Amino acid sequence: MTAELLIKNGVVYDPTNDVDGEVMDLCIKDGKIVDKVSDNAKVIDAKGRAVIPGKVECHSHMVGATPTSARILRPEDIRVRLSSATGVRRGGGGRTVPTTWEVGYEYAKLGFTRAYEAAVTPLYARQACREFDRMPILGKGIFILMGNNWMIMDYLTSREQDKITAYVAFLLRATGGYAVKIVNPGGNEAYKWNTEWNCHHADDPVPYFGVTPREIIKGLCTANEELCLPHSIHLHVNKIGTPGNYEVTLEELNITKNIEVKCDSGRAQNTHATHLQYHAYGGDSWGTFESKADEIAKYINHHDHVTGDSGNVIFGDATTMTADSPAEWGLYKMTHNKLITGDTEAEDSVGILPFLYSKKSPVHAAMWAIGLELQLLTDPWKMFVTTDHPNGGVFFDYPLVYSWLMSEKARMDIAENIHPWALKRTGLGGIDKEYTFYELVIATSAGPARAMGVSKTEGHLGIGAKANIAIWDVNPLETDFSRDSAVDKLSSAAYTIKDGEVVVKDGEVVCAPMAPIERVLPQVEHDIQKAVEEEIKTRFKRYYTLQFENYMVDPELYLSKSDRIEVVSGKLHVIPHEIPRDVET
Amino acid sequence: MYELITHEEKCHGCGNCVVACPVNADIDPAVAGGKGPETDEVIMRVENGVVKILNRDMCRGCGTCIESCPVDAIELKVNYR
Repeated sequence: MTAELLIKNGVVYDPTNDVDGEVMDLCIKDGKIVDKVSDNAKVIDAKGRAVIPGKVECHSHMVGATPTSARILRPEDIRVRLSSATGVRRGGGGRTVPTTWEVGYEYAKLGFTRAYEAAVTPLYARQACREFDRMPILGKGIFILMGNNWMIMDYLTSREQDKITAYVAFLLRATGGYAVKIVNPGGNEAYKWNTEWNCHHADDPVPYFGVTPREIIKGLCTANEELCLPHSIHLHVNKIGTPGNYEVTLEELNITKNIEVKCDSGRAQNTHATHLQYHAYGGDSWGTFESKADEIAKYINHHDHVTGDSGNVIFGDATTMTADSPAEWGLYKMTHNKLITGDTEAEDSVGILPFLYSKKSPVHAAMWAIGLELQLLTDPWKMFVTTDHPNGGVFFDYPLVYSWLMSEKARMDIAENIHPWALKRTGLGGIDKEYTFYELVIATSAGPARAMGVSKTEGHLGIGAKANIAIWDVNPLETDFSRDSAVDKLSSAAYTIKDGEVVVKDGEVVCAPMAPIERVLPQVEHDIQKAVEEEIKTRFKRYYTLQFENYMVDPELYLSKSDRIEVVSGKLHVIPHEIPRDVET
Repeated sequence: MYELITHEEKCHGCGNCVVACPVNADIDPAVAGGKGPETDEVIMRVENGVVKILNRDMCRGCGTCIESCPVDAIELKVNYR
């Protein structure tokens, strides 16, 4: 590891510290940003180059049982893109569902230094931990699915909030998770009894349990705040991809309005609503389908308890994968593509289906426009760029999204050559806003870092921050992104620096260290924890195919490289892992 | 009124009857989850590789165990009064 590093004369963008394109030097020592280094420091000349904090991917499906099943479902995918092994890289490939190592390398090439896996059922957390243990470069964390868990719904029925909190703490400790994920609360459970059932709005009761999505969201959000977790609940609301669903979205975002944020991780929100593009539709059928992105954007701009990410659509091949299996079943009935749909015992469900976004399709054209509209109308501190990889598009294509956001001309070139609904049914044509480079850094780096609860050490370049930095071969002060396409300039980083180590140079991976998994270890009172564990043991015998004793992910075996975040009376204490091992060893 | 009769020479100890029995499942949550019983309070269980009836009088004669047996090693006799 290079102990000292000096980045000279870079054009620095650091929104957290209000640095907007200032030419300055950055000093790095032992993986941290410091105020000065000795003369022996290695120098990187960044004259005329943009220097930004490493990007943070707040929602992506890249490891775990779902992407692995998708890799098996789509053997053709690896033929689209193959990359051979070099001295540093392992060989691999795949585009919509790349191999584990590829994900790490390719994200790093785009300037990312941190990524979160968005949906892992507790039962299959082992798979995610194993893959993350081998994924190079990226810092990472796992979101654990809890929105359709039988135990939680049972405790909601008996109105025992303290037990819900204890059970959430137990699940996170048992699985190496980082945050609470809620997918289509209650709806997946309904689907598992009958493929045509779902929860259609916040007060639609879950069959056989009687609890409503409203109670699930409220219960889990309360538990999340009581445990003072670094990230808020990560919410995928009901009725994804259905005309007229924006009302459900607004209603469900409003549920947590009065719940106080108790964490000291730097976040201001208690709910992160994910891939909102799929939840911002008006009309009452596909014939009257239209954009309601303005309504969603207005709500988020006026409420501090919500952040979101966009879930942009990019035309071309995608693999939809979500725990929201009723939605996947709907797609299957429409396309008759190959489908995996599954039931994860008492926890959640899953659906995987290859999908093609077509420029000729009126709905797809409008979806493309809605994603951009949503991103452009919302404060970038509250709305982050994602494609919900690989649902809306693959992360390789992020530079395309950046170019559309930064240039009206670039997006109108596309909009005029696709189905006219892109402009007729949405408000995209009337938006002349263009993202500045500074705003793009907010929406890809500083904003997500804050929402994820890592903003104290990441997503900024102040003294003491981790040295996670991306340097681009472009000078934003002299470049007019509205004319010159950002695609070429932002598609591969000149340098990516992870924890003070140069991992990417001139768009090539030069070093692939392992970064730790971050997992949260929340605590509740001993008595209630014991009581809940006793109760769960009995239910495990009844509901699960495996024994309670085998359920816990063994930290020694699966999480040897993990940063533990102990939450003690509302304060976060990060206990670092031991020295990271290199790929070779 | 109902009497379970087992033919131990036929039984190969698969345990289908133990798990299928609704009375067993009601008594022991482990049986409901598809696992072997942890108590002696169930109607039957597999011991040393063959089925053994523990509490004959608890049987209410639904016949599910007979349906589930692949080798016809269990039989239900109805004693009409």
